[in-house]
Amino acid sequence: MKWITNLSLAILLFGFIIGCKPEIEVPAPKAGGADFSEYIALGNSLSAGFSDGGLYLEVQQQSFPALIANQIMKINAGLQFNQPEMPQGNGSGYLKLRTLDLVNQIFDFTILPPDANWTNKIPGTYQNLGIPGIRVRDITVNGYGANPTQGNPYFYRILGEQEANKSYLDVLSESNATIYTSWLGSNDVLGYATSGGKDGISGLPGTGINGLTPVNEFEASYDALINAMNGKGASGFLITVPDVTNIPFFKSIAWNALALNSEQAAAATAGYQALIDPQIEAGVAEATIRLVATDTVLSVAVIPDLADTTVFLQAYQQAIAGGADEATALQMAQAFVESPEGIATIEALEAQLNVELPAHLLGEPTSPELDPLFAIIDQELATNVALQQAIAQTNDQITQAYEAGLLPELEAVVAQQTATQIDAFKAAGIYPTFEAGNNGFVIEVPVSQTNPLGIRQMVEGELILFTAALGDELLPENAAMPKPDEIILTLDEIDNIREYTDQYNEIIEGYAGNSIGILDSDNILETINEGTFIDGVEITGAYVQGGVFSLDAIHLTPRGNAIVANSLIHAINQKFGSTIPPVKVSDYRAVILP
Amino acid sequence: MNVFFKQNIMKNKNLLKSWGILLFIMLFFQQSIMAAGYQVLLQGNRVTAMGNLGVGLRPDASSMFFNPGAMPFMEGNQIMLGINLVNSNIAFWDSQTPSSTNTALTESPIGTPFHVYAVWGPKDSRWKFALGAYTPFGSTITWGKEWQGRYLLDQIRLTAIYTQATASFKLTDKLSIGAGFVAMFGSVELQRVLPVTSDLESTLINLNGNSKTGFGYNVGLYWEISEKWQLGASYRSKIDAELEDGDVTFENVPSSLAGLFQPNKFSASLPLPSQISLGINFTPNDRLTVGVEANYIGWSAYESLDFNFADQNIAIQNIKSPRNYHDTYVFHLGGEYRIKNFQLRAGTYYDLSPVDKGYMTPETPDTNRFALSAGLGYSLGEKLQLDLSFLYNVGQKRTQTVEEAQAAGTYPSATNSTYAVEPGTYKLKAYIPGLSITYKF
Repeated sequence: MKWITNLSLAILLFGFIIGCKPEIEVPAPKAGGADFSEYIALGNSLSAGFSDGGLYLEVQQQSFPALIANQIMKINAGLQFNQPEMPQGNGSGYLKLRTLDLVNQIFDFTILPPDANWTNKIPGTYQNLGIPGIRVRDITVNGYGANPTQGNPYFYRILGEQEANKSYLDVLSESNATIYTSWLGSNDVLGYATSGGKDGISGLPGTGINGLTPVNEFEASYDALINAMNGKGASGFLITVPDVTNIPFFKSIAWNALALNSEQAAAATAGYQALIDPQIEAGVAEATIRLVATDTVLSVAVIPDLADTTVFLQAYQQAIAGGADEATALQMAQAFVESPEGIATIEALEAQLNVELPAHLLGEPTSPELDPLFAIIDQELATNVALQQAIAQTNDQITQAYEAGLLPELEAVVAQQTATQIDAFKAAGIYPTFEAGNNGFVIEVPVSQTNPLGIRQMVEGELILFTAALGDELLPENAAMPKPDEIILTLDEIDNIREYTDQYNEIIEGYAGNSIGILDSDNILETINEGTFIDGVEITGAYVQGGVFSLDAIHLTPRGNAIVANSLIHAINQKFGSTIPPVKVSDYRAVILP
Repeated sequence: MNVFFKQNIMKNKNLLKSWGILLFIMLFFQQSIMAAGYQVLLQGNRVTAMGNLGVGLRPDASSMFFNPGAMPFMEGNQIMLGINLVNSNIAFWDSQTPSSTNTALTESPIGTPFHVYAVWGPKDSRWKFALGAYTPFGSTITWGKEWQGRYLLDQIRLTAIYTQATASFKLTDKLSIGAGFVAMFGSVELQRVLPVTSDLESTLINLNGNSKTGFGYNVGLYWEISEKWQLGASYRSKIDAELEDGDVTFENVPSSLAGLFQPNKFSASLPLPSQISLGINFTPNDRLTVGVEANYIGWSAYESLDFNFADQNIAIQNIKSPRNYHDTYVFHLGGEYRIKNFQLRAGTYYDLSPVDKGYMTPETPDTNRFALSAGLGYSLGEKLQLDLSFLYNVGQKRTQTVEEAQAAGTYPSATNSTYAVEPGTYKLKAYIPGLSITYKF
């Protein structure tokens, strides 16, 4: 009997012991036609892992080059991939969400302060050469990392004590890359873009900071990089410069997000009227008075003599043409001028000049035969000091009388001109008007002939920078006030960015070949902005909630890095026939919710 | 049933003691998936050893489940207690992502489906009556919090316990019929990870609930065509497990989302499908019996699994998860050979999957199953019967593509945002020993 118990026990145990698990055979990753001995990442903050406004250890470890390197290690287990790691802690300091109101989209940040020692030198051989802030035009600059405060501190810290004069090109030339990725060029437009283009295309004199890198400089620098890498026989993937206006930093606040109810709209309209109309009126009055003063003085001081002299000259030339000699011609001319016919001609000319003078002073067309006469008048106005003084005096007198209310006719003319001017400004989009609902924000623009007010409303397609949300500009009490240029990208500025970006990308795409592949970053950005579903999670380009963009609204979260890493892995696999396994995007975090 | 138990336990204290404790402990564990869908085919270890061939067999107490019509042909009365230890796991490979080497393996705990039958009839009567409890449906799967489908499923425990009362009557010397009335008690515990990034561990949603009592019936017919041939046919009705007022709770919710993830209530409904069985056995002598059987399972009743929440918000929305299962077949072949008071058994069955392309969900990533079984029976005197079985069940490797899932509307696409399946390649394996003890009186 006992043996039954034993046998039964044995069968049960047997069942447990051979309780092995099901298995699926998975093909092993292969290198294909690629040489994965040494992978180098060339780039800027995006390659370094910069996130939430800073570079710190946790995000460095999840930079897209580090993610790619980890996957390459499944093919080449001995791959070394060193990154210039920040000390454990806050690194260069970064943003963190303190509280969050998802329903009302209210974000409250805290700024974690940088580590005291983060710029300490940590010279070494690094495979991740992503340097935050570097532009293509900086690649060949010797001494780019000479000083932590005047140069680029991220470059400074990876150079040895004796290497102050090295350029980025020098450093990458020392690498032993067999395969590399290069994502450079964003900073050549981002400086201009994130400063609202306030320093113009050339940026600040000397460094060109906040400017757009000249295309020939971009080309020369990138050529040098490609030549250096080709010289090593390395294969590479170049990522194009994305359309930077397509990221949350520029898309989070709409151009017409000025939402007003009918009372607020009326108040804003009235506010601007009170501000602008007097200015317009003053301008119109001043111009009108100047016109009147000039006209008055000229018609008394210059025109009679001019008409006189002109008719005399005409008669003189006629006489000469008729064969008379100089003396006779002069006599004939004099006689003519004193004759009734001559006097009539002079008076007619005077009248014509007087009639057309205001038009000429306003820059409008006049009868062509008067052109030489007006040229003389202009000459007089420009050079005759006594005349200028007389006009100035008359101007002052008229102004005094006008301001004392003694010139009702002039006032009427000014009022009518002011109304016309206001309509013209409104039609040109310069005069702010508000309705209940969404309204374009008002922005400051340079004062010019066509826009003496120095303000206008935004139009569709223009962008407001994320920095506006961090200051007071968008608070309800300030929202309708004119916004400074540095937080706005106008249509012209956006065109500049796109034009330069396109030219940079033409250069980059020109390097394509058997050993160099090109990855279009705009494709990735568009897919993200349209919204997609990857590895079990939804991905969009929305700030914070989309999962891709970090708190600084420009750089990526580790999840965003995973998406970039997979795009590159997929591209490398396709071009070189390798089977590097991709990462799981959902294994990498989005913005940490408090 | 209590009366019988007391008397018989006293008589066979020693033997029953050692096994009984083990069995009762395991009664409190959960079941594991081992048949197509969430059906559990482990209702008697003699039958299991023969490839689950039960409807046409010369009956034992387990016939109250397999064919209630056969019971009058059982000599005497019996009480049977049995349990199986289900070691069943699923392997997954993310084959749909190019070059991916991502795999996952469930770490499901051992399931313990059980059966208890008591069959009694007055001496020399044509009647037999029976009471029993068993678990014909269940599922325990633990994928864990790392696998890529964790936002669909981390772990699930599904249990359906049937209690049955049956009466059967011998119409002629060759033919008997029976019918049983069933009350079903079901429960589900489900956990998934929520795609939330915070400083905390994985944010989880837990759904927990018991179903209302469900009711059903089964009927059977048993015909001893001749000395050597037997035929059995049975029908079990579908029962709907309806769950109302289940609890929804959350773990590890960051404070910024606390307002969205508040405790909630949910309702859901799951069909436990009907089954028609037909089997023929050939018994040339008193030692050998071999048979074939076919079952037809009404899985088309399972169209969708929906979870409806009492309170919805932007984060918690009712979940609609299409299933569109189709009716399927199971085919069995098995036999038993008696040597003295031992019975050697072996069998095989092929279980077709009710799941269509694009509907392989993480809790039932179903494929066609093939099973081999073997077992040993031992008759200890006239009073005691031990049946030991071992079942090996394997699901063929099956791949579900993204396109199939998008066409089925179970994976996000340009036109649909439902996420109900994880595309990839799945393979199932189960190793199941079992033991039943029968006391005859």
